[in-house]
Amino acid sequence: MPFHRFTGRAARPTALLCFVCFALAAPAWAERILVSNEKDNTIAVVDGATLNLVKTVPVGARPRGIVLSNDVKTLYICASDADHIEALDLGSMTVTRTLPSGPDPELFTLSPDGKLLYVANENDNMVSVLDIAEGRIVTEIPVGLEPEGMGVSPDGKTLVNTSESTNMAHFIDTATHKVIANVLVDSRPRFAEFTTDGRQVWVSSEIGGNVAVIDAAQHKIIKKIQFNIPGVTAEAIQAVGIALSRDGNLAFVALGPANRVAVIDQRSLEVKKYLLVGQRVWHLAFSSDEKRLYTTNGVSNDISIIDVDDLKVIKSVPVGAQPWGVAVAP
Amino acid sequence: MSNRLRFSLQAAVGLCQAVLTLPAQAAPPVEDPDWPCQQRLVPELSAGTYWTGAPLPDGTDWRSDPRVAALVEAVAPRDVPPDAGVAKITAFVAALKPGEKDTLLATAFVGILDETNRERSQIIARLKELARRQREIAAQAAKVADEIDAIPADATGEDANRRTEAVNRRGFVTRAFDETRRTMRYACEAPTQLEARLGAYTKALQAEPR
Repeated sequence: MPFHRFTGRAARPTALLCFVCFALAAPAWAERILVSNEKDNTIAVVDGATLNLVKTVPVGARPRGIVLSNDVKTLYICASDADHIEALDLGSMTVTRTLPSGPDPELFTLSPDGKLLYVANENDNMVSVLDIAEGRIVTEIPVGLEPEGMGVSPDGKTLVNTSESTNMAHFIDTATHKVIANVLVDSRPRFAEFTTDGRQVWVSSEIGGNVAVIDAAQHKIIKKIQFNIPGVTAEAIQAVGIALSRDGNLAFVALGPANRVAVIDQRSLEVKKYLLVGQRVWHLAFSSDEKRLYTTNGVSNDISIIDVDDLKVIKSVPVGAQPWGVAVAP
Repeated sequence: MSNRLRFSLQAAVGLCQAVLTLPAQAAPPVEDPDWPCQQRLVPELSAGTYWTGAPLPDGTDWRSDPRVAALVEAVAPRDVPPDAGVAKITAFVAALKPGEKDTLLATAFVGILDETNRERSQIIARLKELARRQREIAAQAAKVADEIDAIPADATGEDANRRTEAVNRRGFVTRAFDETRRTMRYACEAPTQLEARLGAYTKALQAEPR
């Protein structure tokens, strides 16, 4: 985290003074919100302080999944139609490296040590394990049809991949690269996310329109969270992106063309509220302090900003054509 | 979120062959088999996904208010660009008196939603028709592939002629498949464009006049 590095270096009085001046002048939201625009082939940069679009960077064809490196210097991008991964240097805001993937990479996740990317390749039914430093795929793990969602446990030992057509969450041992369990979920699973304590995996199903909460040790579904919104047809409720707060209190689920984000109590697994956001809400990311949640809205071409304490949508910001993925660089 | 079509010729041929061998009691598919676009089909747009304003009129015909009817007629046709429609809605909102505002805005929304759904369902019907045609082409491709496979590549005489004819036919079928796929790629965006415009219109109806 940049601020942590600042404090570590502020030993001399002048440096300390500069830091204090900077800290006082710095806006409360000194972060960048990075959004992949699937149709524009760009990464949009929104300033967290002003909530204005400040830059749009051209990248490879059809950028979808994006993830930050652990040092927050690089944004990795699934360029789906270019069939590779790009590394966007966040200092120069230019693509400095191209990394291999399988065909049509859609989503990926970073190993907790930051060394590996686990990539779901939608077109070849494989999860590719990419060594970032070496820039090569070290192994491929066969999974179900149209792999998509990717989640890794906090200890890095278990990977969960969902396959869109097989309707399964595949639990993979990251040491042996073998599938150790399959959990059947509802139709077209899209996204997988571990809770901070690693005990549960939440898997969203787009056509099923629900979220399966899976016991990560037992590989059993604890509950399927259903969504019921008055005045909205069942077909419009398509569960996609999931964001789980680190403190274990709240969960947010993007409900696609229902134009809603569901707010869920992580402990009781009950839906507390639905928030109206932009059209076809797809993926979600918290601000670094988790006081805000950012949503990509693929039809209205904007992001919505949710105040997490008040559970209110405070603003929408146009970002480009078909925003898909979102990441926040502190 | 994707506009990637769920068909490739190979997959479609495979699908046709698989469907032909399915037992009669096979479970019904969870998706509409005639829907060719990646995004799950939402057959009808509902008010609840857009409207957060005053309660919507129940059973009132939006055509009964001439101002609302004129607005809907001006902004709802498919060829009206979103910006032009939004400008008309903004002018409509600005001309309303405080006492009538809530009712007329809600009525106008109902009218625009009705008309958008009507146009959108026509597009959906055309897309499904296109998907059916694409499946027929895929079945033809499977048939011609079988014909070609049945004749050895080194055949002579009449067999060689039949094989050449079948190979040529495969070329035509493949081109027809690719052409339909290209058409679908654009056509699949049409419902989404109407949804986006409806979103912009709803925002304009609910915006406070400047």
